[in-house]
Amino acid sequence: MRVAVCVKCVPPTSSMRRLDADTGRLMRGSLVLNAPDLHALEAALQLRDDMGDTEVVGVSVGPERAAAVLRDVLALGADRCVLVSDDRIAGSDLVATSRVLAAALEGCVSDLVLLGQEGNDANGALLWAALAARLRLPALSHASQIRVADGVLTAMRTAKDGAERVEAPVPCVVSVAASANRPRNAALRDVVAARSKRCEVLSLSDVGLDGELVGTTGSGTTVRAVRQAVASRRGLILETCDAGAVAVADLLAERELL
Amino acid sequence: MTPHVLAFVVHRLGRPTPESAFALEQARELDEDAGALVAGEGVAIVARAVAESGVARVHVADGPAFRGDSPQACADAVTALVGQARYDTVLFPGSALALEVAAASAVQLEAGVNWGLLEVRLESGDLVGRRRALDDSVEVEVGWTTPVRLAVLRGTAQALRDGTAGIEDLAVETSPWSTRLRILESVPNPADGATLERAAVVVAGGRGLGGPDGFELLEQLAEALGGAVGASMPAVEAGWYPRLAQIGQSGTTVSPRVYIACGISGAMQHTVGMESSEAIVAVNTDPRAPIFRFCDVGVVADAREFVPRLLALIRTRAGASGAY
Repeated sequence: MRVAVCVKCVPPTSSMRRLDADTGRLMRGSLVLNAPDLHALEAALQLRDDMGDTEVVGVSVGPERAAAVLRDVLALGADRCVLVSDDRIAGSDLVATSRVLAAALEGCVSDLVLLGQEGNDANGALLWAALAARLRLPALSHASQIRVADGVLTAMRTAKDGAERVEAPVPCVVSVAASANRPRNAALRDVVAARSKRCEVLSLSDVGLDGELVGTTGSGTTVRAVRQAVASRRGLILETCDAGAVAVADLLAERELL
Repeated sequence: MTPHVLAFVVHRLGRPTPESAFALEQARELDEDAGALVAGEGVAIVARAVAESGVARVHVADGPAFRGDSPQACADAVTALVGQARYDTVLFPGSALALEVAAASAVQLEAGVNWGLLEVRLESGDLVGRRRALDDSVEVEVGWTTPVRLAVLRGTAQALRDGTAGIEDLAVETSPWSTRLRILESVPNPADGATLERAAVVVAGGRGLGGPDGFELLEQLAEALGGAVGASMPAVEAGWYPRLAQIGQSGTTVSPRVYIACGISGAMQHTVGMESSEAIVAVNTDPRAPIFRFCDVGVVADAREFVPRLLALIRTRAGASGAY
């Protein structure tokens, strides 16, 4: 079986900044693996641990320097990686990005396509659903306890009102819940072993896509203006527990809740 | 040119959700000839409720293909309807299901999709959406370049009951891949979340509580105030509190008289579920936390120290008035 894991390399948030191991300086312009994607990778590795005879392929779209981050994906256990990198892709929205990723995945036919489950306001929040539509495959979100047997995937899907046990035929597209697993760490020997693994960098023409279909020209949305938001309500801010407790108790009393 | 607008309806317990009521309201404002799409299995009752919402017509896609409101089958219904009835703008309510339907529809229609929109309006003939980014610190104006435009909204409204739209059946040929997911078993949460939705006071906790122990403090406070306890997604994902109590985009939407957020930074996924509260109290150690930008009372403190202090004060005051 082949499991493709879609990963994204993103600028670090403040809590994830990396220091250069040699100089001790903050690595500017460095990229890290998007945190939710680690759970998708872990789910793929666990499937390989359980089933054996499984190839785990990391698939990414991004700048060429993302190849360095994909080394981490290889160190964590992926067998190989594919990176589609082309200057023309910059500025792609959901519709355009899903085209690139789908084209990359069509060149790497897989039984299962896994993605990380992102927050609903994130740029990648809808990518799995768009990707499933592009690949014309069943889609399943918020998945945990993923198993595959006899061409059928079963998993738990957590929803607002509870959980469901669901099944779908493979191939299918699955977004993996953060609660599904605890991602493993790479040991030093894995980092060394990753050096001999393959990370293929492909251009748009390599995946058979025309430049018109990506970037801002291939996107269906535009950003017209960006401005500082006005605080919708900004009330009294108190700096101590005691003053805060009095203000909150007053508020509750005012609204006849005490 | 006036857009021809369709609102996709997400329903629960036979009624359109408050998020759907907002989508219907926005659709009506943009186009007096707006339509609504109700998809699901056995949704005639939902269609009748939507027919009173002021739209001009209600399209109903009903049948076993839509069991469990299958998002991919719903996207097939949107795709078919946009083609048949020449809608050029589709508004989706803010919900996990609608986001998935919108994303799949965007691909099938090759249409631009913007989400998290607080409003959609016409500006010299152009459709313009307004959303927040970077934890609500920035406002972004977005547009579309495709003939069909999809918009996922963020907001709620009261359902209207002042219309009598015609109800039309929509025949949809679903794609082979859209109906392959099978639900083998449902494991409902023990309660239905109604207590949280109805509570006059909601005390909610996030990662700043540091662990499940913090939620015991919140339970004491909620009990003293006759309220309910909620949790942010990160706290739920960390296993500190049940998913049923999750407030926000992938959880419950609440609008209590007072909302007390403890150790919650105020990420957009959370705030959409509580921003319509009458009064908001925020307790957080980080004075720059986004939640301080839209609270009525903010306390820069560790919630684990603040809550016992507030509890003590409430009990003293109750004692003084002889009520406790």
